[in-house]
Amino acid sequence: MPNIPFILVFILLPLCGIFFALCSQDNEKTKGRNVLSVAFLTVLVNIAFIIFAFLSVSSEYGKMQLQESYLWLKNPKIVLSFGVDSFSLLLMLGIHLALLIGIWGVRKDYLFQKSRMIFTLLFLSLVNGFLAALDIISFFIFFEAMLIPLFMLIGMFGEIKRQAGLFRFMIYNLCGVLLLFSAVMILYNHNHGALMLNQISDIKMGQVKEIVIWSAIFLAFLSRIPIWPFHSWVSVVSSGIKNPLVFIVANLMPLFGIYSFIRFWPQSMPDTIIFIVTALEIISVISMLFIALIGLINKDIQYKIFSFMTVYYIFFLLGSFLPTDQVLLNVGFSLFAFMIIFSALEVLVSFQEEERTEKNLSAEGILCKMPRASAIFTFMVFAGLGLPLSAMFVNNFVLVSGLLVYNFNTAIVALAALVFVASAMVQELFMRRTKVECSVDNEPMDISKLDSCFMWLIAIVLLLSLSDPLWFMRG
Amino acid sequence: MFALTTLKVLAVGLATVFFQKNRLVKSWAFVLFAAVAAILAYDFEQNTPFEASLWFVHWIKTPTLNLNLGLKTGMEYAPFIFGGVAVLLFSLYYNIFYPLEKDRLRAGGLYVLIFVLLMFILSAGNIMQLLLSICLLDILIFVLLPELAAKRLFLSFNLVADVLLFILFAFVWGQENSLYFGALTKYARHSSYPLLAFSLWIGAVAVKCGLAFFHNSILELKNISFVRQNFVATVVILLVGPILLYKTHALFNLVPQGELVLKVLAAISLAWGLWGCLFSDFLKARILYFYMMLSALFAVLLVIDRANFLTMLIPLICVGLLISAAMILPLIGAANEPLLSQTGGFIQRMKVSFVFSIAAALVEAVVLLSFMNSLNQWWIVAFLFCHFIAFSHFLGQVYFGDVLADERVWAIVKNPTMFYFIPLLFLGGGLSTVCCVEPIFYILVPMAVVFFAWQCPLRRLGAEKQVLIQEEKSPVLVLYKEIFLLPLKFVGRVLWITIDFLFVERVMVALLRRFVFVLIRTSMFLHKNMRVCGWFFLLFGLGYAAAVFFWQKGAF
Amino acid sequence: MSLNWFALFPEFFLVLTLVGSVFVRLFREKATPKTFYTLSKFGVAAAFIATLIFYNQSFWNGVYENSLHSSLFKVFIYLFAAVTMFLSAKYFLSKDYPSFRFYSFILLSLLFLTSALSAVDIRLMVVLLELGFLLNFYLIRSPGNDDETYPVSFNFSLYAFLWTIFMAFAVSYVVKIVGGGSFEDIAMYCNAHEINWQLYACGAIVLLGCLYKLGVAPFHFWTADVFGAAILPVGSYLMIVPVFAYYAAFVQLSVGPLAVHFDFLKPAFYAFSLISIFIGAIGANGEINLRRIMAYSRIFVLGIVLLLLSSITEISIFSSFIYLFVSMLALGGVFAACYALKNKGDYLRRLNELSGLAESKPFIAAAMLIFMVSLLGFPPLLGFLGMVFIVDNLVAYQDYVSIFVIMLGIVILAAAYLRVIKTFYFDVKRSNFDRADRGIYFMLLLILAVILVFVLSPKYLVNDVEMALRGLVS
Repeated sequence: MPNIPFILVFILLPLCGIFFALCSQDNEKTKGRNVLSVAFLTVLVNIAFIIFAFLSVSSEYGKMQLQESYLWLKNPKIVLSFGVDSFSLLLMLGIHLALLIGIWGVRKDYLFQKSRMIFTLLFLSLVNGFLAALDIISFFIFFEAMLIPLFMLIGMFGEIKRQAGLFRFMIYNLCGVLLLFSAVMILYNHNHGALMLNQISDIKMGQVKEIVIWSAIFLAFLSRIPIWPFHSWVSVVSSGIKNPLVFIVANLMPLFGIYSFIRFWPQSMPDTIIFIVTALEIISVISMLFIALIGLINKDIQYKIFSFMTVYYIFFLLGSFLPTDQVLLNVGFSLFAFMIIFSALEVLVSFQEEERTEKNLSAEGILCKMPRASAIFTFMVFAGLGLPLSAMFVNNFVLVSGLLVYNFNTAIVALAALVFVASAMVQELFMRRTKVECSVDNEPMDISKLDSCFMWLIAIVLLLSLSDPLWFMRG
Repeated sequence: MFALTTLKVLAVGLATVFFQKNRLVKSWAFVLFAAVAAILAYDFEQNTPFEASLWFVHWIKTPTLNLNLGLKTGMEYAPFIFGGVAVLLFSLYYNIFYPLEKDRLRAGGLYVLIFVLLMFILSAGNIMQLLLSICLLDILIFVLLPELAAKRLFLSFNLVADVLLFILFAFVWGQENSLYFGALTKYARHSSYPLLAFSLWIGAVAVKCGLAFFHNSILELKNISFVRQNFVATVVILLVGPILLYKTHALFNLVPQGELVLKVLAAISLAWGLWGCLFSDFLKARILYFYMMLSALFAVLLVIDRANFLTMLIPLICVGLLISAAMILPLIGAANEPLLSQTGGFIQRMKVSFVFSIAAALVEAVVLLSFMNSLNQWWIVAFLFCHFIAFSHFLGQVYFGDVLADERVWAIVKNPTMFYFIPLLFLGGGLSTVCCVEPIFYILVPMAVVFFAWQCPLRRLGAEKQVLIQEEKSPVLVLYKEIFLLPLKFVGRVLWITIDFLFVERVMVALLRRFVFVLIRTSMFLHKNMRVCGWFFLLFGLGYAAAVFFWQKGAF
Repeated sequence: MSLNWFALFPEFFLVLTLVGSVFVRLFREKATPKTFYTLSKFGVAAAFIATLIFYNQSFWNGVYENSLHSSLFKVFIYLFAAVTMFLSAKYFLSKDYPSFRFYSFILLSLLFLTSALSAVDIRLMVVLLELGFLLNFYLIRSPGNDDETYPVSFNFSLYAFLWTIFMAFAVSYVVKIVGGGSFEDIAMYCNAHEINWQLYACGAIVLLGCLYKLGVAPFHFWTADVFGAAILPVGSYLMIVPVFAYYAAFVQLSVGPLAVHFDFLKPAFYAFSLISIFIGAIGANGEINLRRIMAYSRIFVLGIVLLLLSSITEISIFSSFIYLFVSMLALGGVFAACYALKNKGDYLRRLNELSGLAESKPFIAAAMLIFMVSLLGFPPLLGFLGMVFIVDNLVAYQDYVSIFVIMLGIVILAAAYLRVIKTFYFDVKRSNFDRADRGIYFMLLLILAVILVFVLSPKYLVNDVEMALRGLVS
């Protein structure tokens, strides 16, 4: 196997894509196709590299491989370390596929395509760095840096109505980031130098200091997840976004909160912070239930998808709190399928909403005139419910089982919330599939055959993941 | 090998689904039937399913799970395999001729795929394969059903059942750390939440078997074509449900009254099925109520006479198909007149159908009586009695009595073509050779049926349209909507208004916004006039510095 | 006493350029704005090179000495001044205004400020600093925006003269008590004798005077008005260049002759820094003029710098300088981008005039975005480097309250910057923008390239600065 600096490639390749995107020329004839092709190709090539990287790593969770280090500062000494295991590679792959679907979803949206693709590629580059970060400083750098392309994407292309909501969203995330920065610098200083993520729990500090540090860290990560009572600051933005690519990007943020928890979670929980964990679990289940209930009553499909995703994210978060590392790979597998499913759902929904708005139709029965869209939409909804159409089925089983064993009450509430969001999605599915008469002139247009083929290709990827998303690592 | 057979059948099914033909559809449907029948006949001749065989493939290999997917044959599996084969061939056959079937090839292909999944359910050596196959089967049936209402009800009930099984098996795995069926026995003995686990299990079983209160998912099939309806009903409640019950019977030991609960449910299902068979105005609904009664019998036989159940399975399934085929003859003959209140007097034009129906009743009685023993006698007698009343009443309504059909329908009433009788002959003949009872029954039973059909006092109900049921609302769904969903939505709305809107937006956010606004305004005021505010700041700075000095001097 | 005239070469070149400019103004009829820029740039370049060559040579021991750290600051002053002068030429060319006054005052200001850095006699230093500061009155009065600049310059001069009187009195008293004006003499006297309140007051006046010139709260009241009203070249010069001089002077005085006074004033400096951070952050939110927003950002930055300096150690000085440099670079970048914001020849400053900038000038908007994000300390930009140094320093001293205040300040300031970014990127374009000179793009690219180089390899910045500042405290 050639000695390729994979991490550097993952981070730099999208930046190269930005350069080519800037250089690409588009006019009225090409209508943004050139820059779109550049972005699409960049993501595809990065996916190829990720799969190539998979062949170089073992599938064990937690065993960091392909490590790279770069000395940034001599005094104070800051060495940026990167590495991956199968878990982070899996998430990387899932995010790439999700963004690929998102880019596909906006390919007919010609306005400001260049800026959109540039910020998306920048976001992708920073996300790759985040997922590969091994030490606290590089982790923090990418954790904070991704906020800027996120803000620009939402503000410029999200088409959200309430910009005040966007500001609040950013300030809220910024508060979390600054909390983390303070905690990271205190830990760095305490350790008199670079500190790897898996060494954090080995640090011994005073009781009060430990409580403050860990609280700050957990609050920072929670700021990425729509957690009660601050969920509305996130939901106003996340559910208000009309553009599918931007929606996908914005709703990937809770994933980073979960990933952060997983990476920072101490191997053995210090006694001083056990109560924080309990508090986290309580807040998580309250949030799950609350958001699920609101998703049930809310008529807006975007909010339903947002609540569906949030409840699942918190479910995965609860899974990652389980006192065993064994299930973390299952969390990764589920997240991999989950990201692809919700991206596909969002692209399909945005297509329907666009047709609906253009032809002034009601959402009821819109799918009965769109057989291709209807079939793939149904598939994705079923896959999202956890039926055996993707990796979520088996891996959710493991997570539910773990929750039932270690924390029965939490598990019951979590399951109730999952049932609520599932019924909301099923309700929406049937409402859209109801047979409704509409005039021939005003019939909604179905997705093209090419779009349908692309979506079914994604569905095949999901079906292949049903057994094991890392099936291509066998042998 | 059975795996190879399944693979061949799967290939045929996939080819049919994905390569649709618009011309000579009936011919292609026949080709499909012939191909499947040939494959099964040939392979079963080479390797009969009674011989034990096992084929498996590694499915999941992670630190937490290590599972295989397998296909099995043997004495234990053969009855279910043959039962499935019977249902499949019956459906594929009727798929060729049934006039109201629109998408024959796609339906046929789906029947085949569902059969393959049924084999996986049957062969499940671990609860994960069982659960996976059941869920996939539900999805395929969802695809098969053409009507949205039928899809909605079917999915609602079966999805819930799948979730119940999911949670139950998660409990089992969490506690026993094993997904093999042996773990169920251990779990039943020392479950941490036995009542909860039993509730989950019995709920899932009740839905899958189409028992009372949970049968509406099957009932809604009355609006789709007979072939699809029949296939779905037999596969789900006569095969999948019993297989599930058979494989997970160890969970009866979760609570001491486990078997009693199932018996009570079965008894209610029997009574409910009888009521439906007597009072439903929809002919196809009556078939489904009949299946409900049969399913109740299956469930109870699995509990009380498990040892003999496998022997009885194939004949009983064939009886179900026979009776349903006999019951559908009037509908086919009357050009799809679905309402019984629009029939009557068909004996004048459908004597052959009537005779075949009587023969079907006879075969049913012979089969059931031949399997009667000390353990199951009361249940078989009860079933026979209930179905005897229901079937005679049905025959009386359709064939005897006043002609209630409108002129257009009456003009075209005739016996269906001979192709519809061939399966009846096959099934009837086959069952008669396998089962036999005292010769007196061969005379008594038909006479009793004819007599009750002709003279049944309940026949007058056929004329009283207002007595007949048009729609049956599911009590479970009503309960769910009124008692569970509505209050939940109300709570959700209240929470959204009080917390999201009032507390978060109006209190917290407003407070913060006001505070920041006050700060900004103060700053703007202080910096408005440089000449004036400069003095303020200057004096403040100098004064503060002076104060610091004097404070420090004093401190030291 | 031997005088090393070589050490005065940088100053000599500046004087020469100034004289040359005067001659050109008097005798050359067709003196375009570019003429004076050309002269000035050569003068500054020559001064820059001379500083590098004679970085450690002293003219008059005990009065006028060059050292590694003073030369470092001079180098940065010349570099930033060169950038400002280059961009200013574009302004004067586009407006077709005479530039003699501007460039000559700039040269004079540079002369005073750089000379002050080499001064090791308090009298000389204060005189030069005051002259440099008072000169700003004429700079602010540069023609171009007379309605706003005249009242502002009047108010500015009022307080500037007041401080001049204070400083003059203070220095005179100190020299009288100590018996000499050199830093060494003053330091020896203060260490040996107990300070009475008069001596304290005079020393405090000198130190607070530096803070006044820097524009640190509560002496900041002139900054927003001046930067908001002055023409762009003046605003961009005053925003960046003198900061290094006054910062260096403050540090030199604090570690040298007025170290004892500094110790007494530490709590006050701490309080002033916190107030600056708050005023800077909150004030920026209340403004709709882009330059005033940047003025408040400057107060914010200087507040953090003072916070670090309040514990005057080698590390804190080093950290504060790094932060100051990266922030000034970013602020300089913002002002450089402002040169491209023109509509029908008028330079725009209000936010509502700049709506939808990204649509017609994406590169300028992107550059502004990068600079503002850098000012907030966002990684992976240069501002993050500064933030790391600051917080690391504060953590080492376990000053968690300050960390909290800084973080809170950043959040508040971010709200102001988000408003600006929203105006540029999310709002609909209201007016067209004039074509910007290529030189402005070139300068922006240069600043971005410098940021990129320092981000990827901070050692090019950090190592040299550390070496230069070493020994400053001792």
